[in-house]
Amino acid sequence: MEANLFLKFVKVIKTEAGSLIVRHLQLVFISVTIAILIAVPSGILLTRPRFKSWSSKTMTFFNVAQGLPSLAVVAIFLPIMGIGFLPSIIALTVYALLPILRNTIAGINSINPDIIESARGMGMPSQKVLFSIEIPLALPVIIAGIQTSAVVTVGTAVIADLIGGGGLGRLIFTGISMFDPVKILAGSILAAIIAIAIDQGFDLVHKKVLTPYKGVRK
Amino acid sequence: MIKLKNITKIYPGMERPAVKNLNLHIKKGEICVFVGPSGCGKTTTLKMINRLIEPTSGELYINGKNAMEQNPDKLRQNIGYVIQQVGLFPHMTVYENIATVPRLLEWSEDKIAKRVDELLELVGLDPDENRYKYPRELSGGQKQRVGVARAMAADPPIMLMDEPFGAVDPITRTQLQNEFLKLQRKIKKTICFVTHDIDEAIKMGDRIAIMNNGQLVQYDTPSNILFAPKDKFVEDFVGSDRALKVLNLLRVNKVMRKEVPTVKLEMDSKDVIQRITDSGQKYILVLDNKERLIGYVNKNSIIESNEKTNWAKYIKEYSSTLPMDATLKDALAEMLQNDVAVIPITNDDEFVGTVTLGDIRSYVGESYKNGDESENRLVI
Ligand SMILES: Nc1ncnc2c1ncn2[C@@H]1O[C@H](COP(=O)(O)OP(=O)(O)O)[C@@H](O)[C@H]1O
Ligand SMILES: [Mg+2]
Repeated sequence: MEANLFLKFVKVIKTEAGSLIVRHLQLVFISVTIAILIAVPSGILLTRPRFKSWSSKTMTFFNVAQGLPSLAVVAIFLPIMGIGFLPSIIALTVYALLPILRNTIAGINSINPDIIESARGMGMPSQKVLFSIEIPLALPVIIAGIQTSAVVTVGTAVIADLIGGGGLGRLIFTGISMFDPVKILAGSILAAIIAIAIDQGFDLVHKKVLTPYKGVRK
Repeated sequence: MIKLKNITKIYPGMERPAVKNLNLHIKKGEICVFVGPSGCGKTTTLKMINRLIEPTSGELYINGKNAMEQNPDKLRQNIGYVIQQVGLFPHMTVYENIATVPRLLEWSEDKIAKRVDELLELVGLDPDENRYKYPRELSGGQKQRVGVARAMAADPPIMLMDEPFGAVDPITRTQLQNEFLKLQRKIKKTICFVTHDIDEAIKMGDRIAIMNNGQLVQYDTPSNILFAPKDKFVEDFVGSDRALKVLNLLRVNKVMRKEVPTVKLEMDSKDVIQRITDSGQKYILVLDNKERLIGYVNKNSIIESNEKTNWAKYIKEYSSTLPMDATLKDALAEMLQNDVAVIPITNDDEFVGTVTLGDIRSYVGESYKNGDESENRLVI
């Protein structure tokens, strides 16, 4: 019986999972990329003196938005956007924005003001301060935000199937409607593996690439 | 060089001005020290000079030009800036940190590399050892040295320093002060130096600007601040121990004995013993052939050893020496710390003389006697 289940599991993964994994990765990759393109520049903008006063309002809005269950977001989007791949991407993007936005703002605001002051005090133009001091120093925190966002989106993307986005959600929701625990399990396990792999990948980037200056070099 | 005319700063939302009607003229090549209690407006004043803070009203002239009409970034590239927390860029090496302003000025990389090495030497750091280190790998004193080197990178005529030696331990501070004074004798920059420590002000300043509540109370030479305080505030701020403060004003080279009996390494033990006997002391200072101090040697240990030639192994290292720019206060502190009565003085490693406790006492006593008490002036 157990061996039977296992064989069925392998079969599901072999025959159905391939294209669903690809679609799932597409959903995550595209929506997180769009989220980065929106959230990083807006986060930076919200730390500039001119827009600083808006940053807490924006964060409050996004915090509330993030508090909504993902199913509710999907429900809100359904009547507006209809169904399909594009609406799924848009919904996931909105969901992926917050961690990146939050970390971009936090990363830049957490830079020691003495460092910025000495840069300005030496006559560094503010654009150069941003690109060669603030962004490099905030980068580890920004990347950590992207990491969180990507991992969470892997989970949220499961629901995208409800609005026709496809992906591993297909396995899970078909499994649920057909009372097929093997399919549910296969979908969940694969999603979990993707999430863990992405998380580990980012950890590696942190250790190997970012902030070598934080440790004592040999 | 730097002229402040009726400068006032009122921070937005504040009623009381942080700096009020400040008039000040800082001469070329001088160190002007701003001193006063915390919150009196020293930092605000300093930051108005490089326009990190814009004055609410008043005029600022640098080198005869109206600084308010210049591009602030351009203005700042010609003014070195050192702050207490140093503010080195943690993601950049020592080299890149120092190269900041030269790169803004688009120097060639060759010229920058040469300049970086030259500056590291100047502030007493080995270029090969430190060039590619990150700030994290440096001690507090080393960071501060790099901060000074970075500020001097493009050889700006003016330097602004906000409590530059405030965050290091007292021994390192004394060392950095002395090195900086020596450096200043060479580079002759116009320097605005902020401190809350009156001892440091007296030691470092050609002129001292004492501030209180955003206003300039007295702008004068250190000895006038000490002996002709303008009002009760200055008097209290200087403190009642003026005799001790005077020690900050007097350099060891004024008191130093230059003709001190010494022996050279290559002398044989008989001559060494003879020299010590002639000097009437129990020990003698030992120099190498480049006049560098190696240590001292006791007469008894040579005699007891009974060896003819190899007396050098009884040389003991000297626990402390001071450079010529050190003050009598530094010397006294060294004596108390190390429990010695004689401090050797060096100039670029070369031994030039000694200062003794007795000499300090009699010199300070003399100064007081010579200075007419009614005029309260010290003859230096
Ligand atoms: N950015 C600021 N906004 C409002 N008040 C300030 C600001 N910076 C300094 N102050 C006030 O101005 C006064 C002078 O400050 P500061 O120049 O830093 O003094 P100091 O360097 O002598 O300790 C203080 O009362 C301080 O609280
Ligand atoms: Mg201050």
